[in-house]
Amino acid sequence: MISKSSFFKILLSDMKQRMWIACITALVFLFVFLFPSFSIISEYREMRETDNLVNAASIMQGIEYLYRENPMVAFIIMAMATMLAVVTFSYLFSRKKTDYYHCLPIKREKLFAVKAFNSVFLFEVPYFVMSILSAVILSTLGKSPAIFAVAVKGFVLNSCMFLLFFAIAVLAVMLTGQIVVAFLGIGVFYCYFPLLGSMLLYLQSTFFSTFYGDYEFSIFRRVIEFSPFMYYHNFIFEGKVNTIQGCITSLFGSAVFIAAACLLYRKRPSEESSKAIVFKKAKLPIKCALVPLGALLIMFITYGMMESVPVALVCVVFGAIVSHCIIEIIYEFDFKCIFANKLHCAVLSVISFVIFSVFAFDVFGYDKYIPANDSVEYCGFVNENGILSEEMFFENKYFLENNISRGDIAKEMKLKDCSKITELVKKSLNKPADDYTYSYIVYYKLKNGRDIFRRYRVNYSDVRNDLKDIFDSEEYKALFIKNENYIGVNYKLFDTKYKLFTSDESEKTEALKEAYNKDIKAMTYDDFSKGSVLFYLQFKTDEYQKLADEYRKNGRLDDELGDYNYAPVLSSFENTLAFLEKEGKKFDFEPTANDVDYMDGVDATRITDNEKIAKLLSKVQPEPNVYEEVGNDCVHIAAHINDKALDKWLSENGHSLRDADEAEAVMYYVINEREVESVLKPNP
Amino acid sequence: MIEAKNLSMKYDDFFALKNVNAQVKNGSIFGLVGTNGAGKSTFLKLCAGILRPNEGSIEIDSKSVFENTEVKSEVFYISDDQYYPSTYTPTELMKELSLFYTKLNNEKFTELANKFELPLKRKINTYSKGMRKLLFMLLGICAQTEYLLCDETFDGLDPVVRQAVKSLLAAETQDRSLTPVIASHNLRELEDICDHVGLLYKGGILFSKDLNDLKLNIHRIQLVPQKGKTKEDILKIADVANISQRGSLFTITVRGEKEEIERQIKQLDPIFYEIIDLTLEEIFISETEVLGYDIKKLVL
Repeated sequence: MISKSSFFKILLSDMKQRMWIACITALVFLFVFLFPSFSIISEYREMRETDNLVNAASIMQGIEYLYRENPMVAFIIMAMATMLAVVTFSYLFSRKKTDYYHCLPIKREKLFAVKAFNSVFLFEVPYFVMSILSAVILSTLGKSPAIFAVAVKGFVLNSCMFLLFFAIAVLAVMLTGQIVVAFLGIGVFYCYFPLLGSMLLYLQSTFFSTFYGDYEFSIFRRVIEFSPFMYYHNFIFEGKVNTIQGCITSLFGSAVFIAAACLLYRKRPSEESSKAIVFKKAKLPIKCALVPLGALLIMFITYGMMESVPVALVCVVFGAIVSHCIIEIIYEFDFKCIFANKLHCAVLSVISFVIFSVFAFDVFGYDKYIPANDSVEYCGFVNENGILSEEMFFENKYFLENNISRGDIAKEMKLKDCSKITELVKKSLNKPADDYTYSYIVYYKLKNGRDIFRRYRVNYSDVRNDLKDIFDSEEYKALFIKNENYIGVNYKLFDTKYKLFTSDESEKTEALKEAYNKDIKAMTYDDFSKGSVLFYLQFKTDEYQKLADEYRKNGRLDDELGDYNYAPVLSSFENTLAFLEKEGKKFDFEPTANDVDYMDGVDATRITDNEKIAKLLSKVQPEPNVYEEVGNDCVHIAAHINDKALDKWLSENGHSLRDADEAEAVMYYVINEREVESVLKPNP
Repeated sequence: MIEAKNLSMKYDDFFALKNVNAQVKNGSIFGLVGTNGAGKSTFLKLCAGILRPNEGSIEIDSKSVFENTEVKSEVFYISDDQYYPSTYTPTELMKELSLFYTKLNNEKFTELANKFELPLKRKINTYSKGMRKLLFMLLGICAQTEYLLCDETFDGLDPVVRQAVKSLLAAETQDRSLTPVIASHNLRELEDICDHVGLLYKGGILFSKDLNDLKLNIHRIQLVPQKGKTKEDILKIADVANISQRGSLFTITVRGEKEEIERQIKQLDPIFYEIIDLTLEEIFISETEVLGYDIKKLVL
């Protein structure tokens, strides 16, 4: 019998034997933490001497990168967890070693605990020591408590992920009896669901014409993300998971996987060591999981080249057979077993065929699905065609911290009256267009909690009246009303951002808001679709301003919040324009030929002749928001504005001058093709 | 006591042991013989708690062995190709094993190792095959467990060491009721050490008997009968298992008690007769022939 004291002696003895793990880990982190720490210090000192760009925030950003978002650390965590899991239990791959360990008078779960604990301990201790050592070195830069906090936090987060990877890898090792198969098994555990989800997403996007392809809203997103890789990415690098929640989830996952691995170890038959899969009962489920995926992967490769459904169907069956044969060879480690279990092969080929057919022939009517009006809680609609989209008008705090998509906008609209949208969808389904000219996204929140997204492609002329009905409804336009408390306003003209009103000018801000809201209420669909944008206004909330100030300090403002919530001002927004004119600012820039360096866009021709430019400018009209409004006989044309002329106009109309390094200003127009021909090819 | 009841062990679809019933009494040296693939190693691994039986049970002192640390701490198993951590010296291995076998006698081990001239400071992987076998045998003896399971352990030992180890085993058996179970395909190896033998054949035990009983119950006689006496006259002796003739010399194997056989021979009034001891192999030939097997196909 093993007493408690003996157990700890065994633990220590095993630790001594495997001290090499600690040595390797220490060596690896020496290169990852210590050496870069010295280089960071010298770099920052050098920068401090040359300019004033270095501040505490940017130092902390670099340190956070070193400890938390360091791809090298991520790689080491994953590689070491995998390697340690395999090496720690590698005795299970040899009958001789298995016999030695399993004849010893120690319970298997205790042996498992000794081996697993030491692997984790011998990795974590040097990792922690190296983190702290490097933090000590970095603390010479100042801010030492913050540096230590970042180092410890990085250690804790990455350690949680190490445990998760280790537990999953150990589980794979417990199922297998060959080192090669163990690595394959670990690969399957790490990548199976991302691959499966991606394949299903591919099938959905390829064969369902109304599929809206935003990954965030895919029903297979959860499948794709059910992987330690994806979790690591979302948790550590993307910050999509809250720190505490992420730690708890990964620790809970690790505990579940390690408990499952321990249970399997207890049940593991010693005599099956050196076989591919040690649990006979696991063979069929593993095969069932892998063969259809293999079939879809082979289909994916061939469909990408041939784009033929009949060929894809043949490839699916072929892929299933090939996958089955490979799995049988791996199971038995014998090439002669390539055609073993023919019945399984046949059944799995049929299953793969059925899975593919469900998508290829839309068996469940995905494309024709319209939820019943009484099952919908709310809905959203966003057009995809215009230069402008609803997202430009629509503001939401949610956008501040997320990369938003048009699907997000649709989701946030929460329109109660969905009947007009349903009518539009029905019409779109009745008049499908191969050469579509207009597309839009529809979102339904069902009462049962499901999110439904669809994208429809139609001819614009077929649905224009329905679009008008939706757009002109009060509920829809109410979404664009500015109704927050704003502390200032910015505007964007010719891609340059200007301050308009600061927090000291709250009255003016309020007045502009009212004028803008009046224009929004008065805006019709014709204004929206045929109108063009003169400039953009940004109404700033206190929350935005604080975030912007913080980002500005870190030099991340343009990347993170640069274009946040710049709402368009159309030529039809009389109240807004009149208010700003009173403030001494005009926006109706109409260039003459002398103001234009050159025009282009027609057959890639660059037009520099002043006379031709003048003629063209007299015949162009501003590019409408929805291009289809001007008809197929119109072409795009752009006028590249002369910097001096623009500066003159800006200074005369109450705007400050643009920076010298700004990109050239361009004005976009449409023009009738015949008019272009008459200007460019004069009669002989 | 080790007791197997309807013990079956299967590898895939192949039965390595099928419905084996056997007993190994304490304080005796049990020899387990059989051809390669007969199931000897499987039987020992089941006894050591390495394998879990598919059917039936294997018990030591009326307790199941598998995952029973109390029982396993009284069993020391030496496989035919024993694993050892490659960087270890014998002393290090002994120290590690002493964590599991708490009764392991360090001093006795050192003394025996010195006696057999095993260099304790050399790494085990520099040892010869015979030295390694001897080392594990010594560790097994010094572990002070009640049961010592040896799988083909004598294979590779030189005759002098083999004899010395046999003496050690015999002494331990006598002194502290050690019960060694020695598996071998070589009958001659077990002959002078075992008290009890079991013959495994194709996963089943053909028989399991006390060696003394076997030896007492079967005899070989060489005799030259009077002129005129034929083979038929000799066959009148009860329970003749085998008879061969070379010139006028008959060699017969007879079952039964020595006194009764001698009485019957004297009735034949032979010119010369002599009762000779049988080797274990010869006893096996005779015993298995009774069961309808050709021993030469079963063991060496």
